[in-house]
Amino acid sequence: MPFGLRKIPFSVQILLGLVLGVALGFLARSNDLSWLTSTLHTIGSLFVQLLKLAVPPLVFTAIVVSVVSLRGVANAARLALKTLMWFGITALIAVSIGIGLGLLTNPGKGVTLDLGGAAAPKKTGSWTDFLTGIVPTNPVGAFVEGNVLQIVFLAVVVGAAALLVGEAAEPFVALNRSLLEIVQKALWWVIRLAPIGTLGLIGNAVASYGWDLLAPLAKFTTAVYVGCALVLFVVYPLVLVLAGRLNPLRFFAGAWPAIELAFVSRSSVGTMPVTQRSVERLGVPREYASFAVPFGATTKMDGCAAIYPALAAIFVAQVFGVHLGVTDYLLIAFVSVVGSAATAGLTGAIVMLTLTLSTLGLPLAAPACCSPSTRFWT
Amino acid sequence: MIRTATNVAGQALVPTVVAAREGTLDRAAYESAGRRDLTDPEPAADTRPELSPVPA
Repeated sequence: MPFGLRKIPFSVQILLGLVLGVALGFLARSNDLSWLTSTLHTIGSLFVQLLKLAVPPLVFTAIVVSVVSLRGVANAARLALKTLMWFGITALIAVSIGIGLGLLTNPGKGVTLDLGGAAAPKKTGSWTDFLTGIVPTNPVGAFVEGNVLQIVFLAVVVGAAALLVGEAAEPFVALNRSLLEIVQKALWWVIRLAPIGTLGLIGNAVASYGWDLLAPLAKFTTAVYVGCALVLFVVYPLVLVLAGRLNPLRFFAGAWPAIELAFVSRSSVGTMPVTQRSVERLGVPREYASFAVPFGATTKMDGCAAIYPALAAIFVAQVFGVHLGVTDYLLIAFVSVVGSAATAGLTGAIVMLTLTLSTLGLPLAAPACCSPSTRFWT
Repeated sequence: MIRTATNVAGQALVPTVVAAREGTLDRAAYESAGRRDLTDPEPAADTRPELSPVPA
């Protein structure tokens, strides 16, 4: 890295990448420069690939090392329960905001969609996914697929067994410690590339996806943005102040690289290594963060599993002229709070959306009518 | 985009709040988190020497 670049703060480098990416994206779009679009696309996806590459070894080694150093199993179980409880509390607030906004804005009123070409989605969510999904069919498969939740499961089991084996397991634990250090080192190199990766990701977004298709769904898209902004900048600061007695501004200053990368990469799992670094930098003990962050990356989705499915369900019901009663709204909330854990590992808004729609008995072909650009830009 | 940003903010928020409530959050590190470089190889070595590894 040139000497001069070291002096620019990392967050400013990322911001520069963002601004330059938008500019290059517009340039590629307005002048129809396909070579520039494909270059931006390659840079962006290569960066996300590099981050995802770090995820399986990082999750496995960090959890094994943590389990061995935790020792107090009762304490760990209590922490896990508390984490789940706060996942639930924040999800409940988020889904209430989604339902409230849906009722206020009526995003589907007056929208007519041509359902002729709407195909049913390939991936759908079901209630037993969690139980069948958490246990891998073979240990190598979990790593091959990069299934974070299965790797978490394997690592907890292996770590607990290593702890009980004791002396004979010490070389294994030492190997994991050493691997963790190596992965972290390599990960720092990748994170340093974040400004360039950001440039590619946002540039490709601007160059490849237009806003023209958004028009009929503008109300819906705006509602998703307003809902997410309310959660991000009203609900979360309130939770930080009231539940943690923490200054919200400091939280955003510390977590910003992860939030910003999530925005441009649209991938919780790809962002996970940066989220974990940010959370540790915020002063959360590594032993706890190494569990909570991968667990959260697969089960905690206030945007995709609370705001979005609530608004989409109301949107679809209005488009199809189906009346939703109080029970339906309670069902939406229930699916959102419990369902994101139940579909963990099958991450994605489509999975949560189909789970919500099938629970409410709404047509499943509907998600395809939420245009790709709407899904992309939210 | 905004959805993933919200997801990830929540994924960072819950561990922070739980750690704060448990009393295990390093509040000095929390206060200065934004000022320390994320790519700094030893992020909190100077702010919490009591947690640095002790040679065996």
